[in-house]
Amino acid sequence: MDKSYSIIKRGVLFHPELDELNDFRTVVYNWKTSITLGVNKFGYQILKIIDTSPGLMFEEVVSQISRVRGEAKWQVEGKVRYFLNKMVNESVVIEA
Amino acid sequence: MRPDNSQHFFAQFPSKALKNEWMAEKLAGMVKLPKRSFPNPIFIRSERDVCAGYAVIYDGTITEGELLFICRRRAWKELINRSADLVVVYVDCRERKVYVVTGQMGGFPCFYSLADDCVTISTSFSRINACLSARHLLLENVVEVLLWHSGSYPCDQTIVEEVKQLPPATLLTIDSGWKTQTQPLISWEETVEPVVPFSSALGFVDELVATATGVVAGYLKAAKNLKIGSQLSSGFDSSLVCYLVNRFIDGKAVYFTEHSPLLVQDTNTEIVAKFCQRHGIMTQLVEISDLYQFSSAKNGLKVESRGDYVTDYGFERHWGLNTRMSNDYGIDAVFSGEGGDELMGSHLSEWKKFPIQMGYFLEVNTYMNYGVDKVLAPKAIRIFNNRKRWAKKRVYPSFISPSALAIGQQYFPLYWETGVWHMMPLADPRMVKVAARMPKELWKGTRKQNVWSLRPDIFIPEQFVPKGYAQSWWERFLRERKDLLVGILKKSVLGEMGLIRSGELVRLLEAERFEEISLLAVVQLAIQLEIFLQKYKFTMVEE
Repeated sequence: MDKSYSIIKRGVLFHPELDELNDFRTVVYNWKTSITLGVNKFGYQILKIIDTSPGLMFEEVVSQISRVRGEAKWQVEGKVRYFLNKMVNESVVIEA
Repeated sequence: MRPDNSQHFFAQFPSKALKNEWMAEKLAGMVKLPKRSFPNPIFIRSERDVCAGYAVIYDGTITEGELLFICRRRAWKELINRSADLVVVYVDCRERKVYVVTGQMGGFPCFYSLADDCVTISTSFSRINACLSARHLLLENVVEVLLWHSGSYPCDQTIVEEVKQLPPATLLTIDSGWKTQTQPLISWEETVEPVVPFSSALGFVDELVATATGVVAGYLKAAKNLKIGSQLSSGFDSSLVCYLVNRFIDGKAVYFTEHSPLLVQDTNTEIVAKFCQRHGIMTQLVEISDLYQFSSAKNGLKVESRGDYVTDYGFERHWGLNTRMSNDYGIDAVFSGEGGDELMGSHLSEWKKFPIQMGYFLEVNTYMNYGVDKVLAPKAIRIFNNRKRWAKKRVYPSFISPSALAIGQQYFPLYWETGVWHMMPLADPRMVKVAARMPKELWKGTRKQNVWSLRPDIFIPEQFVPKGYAQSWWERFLRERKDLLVGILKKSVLGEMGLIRSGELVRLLEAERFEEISLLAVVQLAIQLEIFLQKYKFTMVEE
């Protein structure tokens, strides 16, 4: 899966104070459907990683999230793939 | 004879008075509280402290003594938990501190400045701005004003760096070393507390109407012995308010319906007439065709700024109606249905948990979809798209939505200076708390129609139609004031700063290609800002 990922900026906003108050759960916005979606802490961490390094390859996203969460790559890979697919379908993340 | 309402609450303490002396008698003399028929000013002075301001309490009363006791105990929460419009300045000469507190409903804006060796506090931006010896223009905030940003999120700054704004339900503290601190008085945890939805739609709607009944009664009590007006359109919100006002003061209120052949999509007078017939209400039809934006600006190219970039010349409809209510009918306070739209979104918990993210999504996506880049120039678009602008915003928790709060915060001068106090019972926090418990069965489709279809005793079938956009009304200023707008835009300060496409707007106006001009609200505010910026001298502060 040699694809890269970037945030669509109009659909994601990080706010240090509110992110912490919400225990790093957040909302994202599908600009095509005007629908707001809830994102859990795992998803938040993925979005944050991609936002920091736009165009990150899938393997690198997996590596970084595994480091952040202290979990093995094989434990997170499937969940990362599922989340990114969902975000791509919801026009929150661009896949290239 | 109506009183002179042009004066605003204004306090100015020079550095000497706050650094060394702290004499209550002297400080009290520096507070100007204009007398009015409503609201009444509060002014208490002792040897140790001064308490001054205005408070309109809608859920009971607070005596001056009680207010002083609250201030002395610093029990600010007791004040801001009330359904009230208020601004209070408290000076404690022993502790050597100035406190300023604003009410949670936002009816009184509060601006302050520490420039020119003075602490200046006022409900009027223009009053403080006029005193400044130098002004620094904050480009980021100029762009926010162009985008009506305060409707997406409360503002704590103005376009002038030297003048700050204190948002609703916020405490400002200034100590003898002139260290300032602002503190939101509603906690985020309070606003996100889970609520239990009503188990039945009917039970919910009945409770909403019962609460509205109690709220309107409280507002009428707060304005007792005053001449009351109530605005009535063919929509649900103003109809509900008029219905309730009429129940309490049958025949003693004056009802107003703004109408114009250009505004039938917004207010259908036939529907209004049927609603009035049902409930025994007599409404005054006020023709407002000629009260469009900039209609009162004198002919010729020189338009004098009145000092307020938010309300000058852009709200002639409201100035005109309020002036008529005041002069012709002696109205002191007017009810409106403002806040009714926001009420129907009170159940959306994401707005409470993620107010800044939601404000960002709303603002950025709405304007991108409507082609904001046709009005704003690339530099402004860069500021508009900059997520850091949002990421650094402070959290100001509130039960009331920013767009409902913005009405008092932004349009205060037109209510204050016409002497007609604006009352919005549907934006009252008690209403918001009930509306937050809307059962899921009412969420889908047009929520307002779902809700009010359960009260056929109040609303008539003809009201259940979607409101349209009155394009011909909103673009009238382009057609009627073309020469004025071209004259202003040819000297455009915003264009020179690289913020608006003034040249392109001039070209479209001169060619009378009005239909190609998008985002009329942004164009309107750009012209208002131009009138302001072309009067005063500024130093620019880049983002």
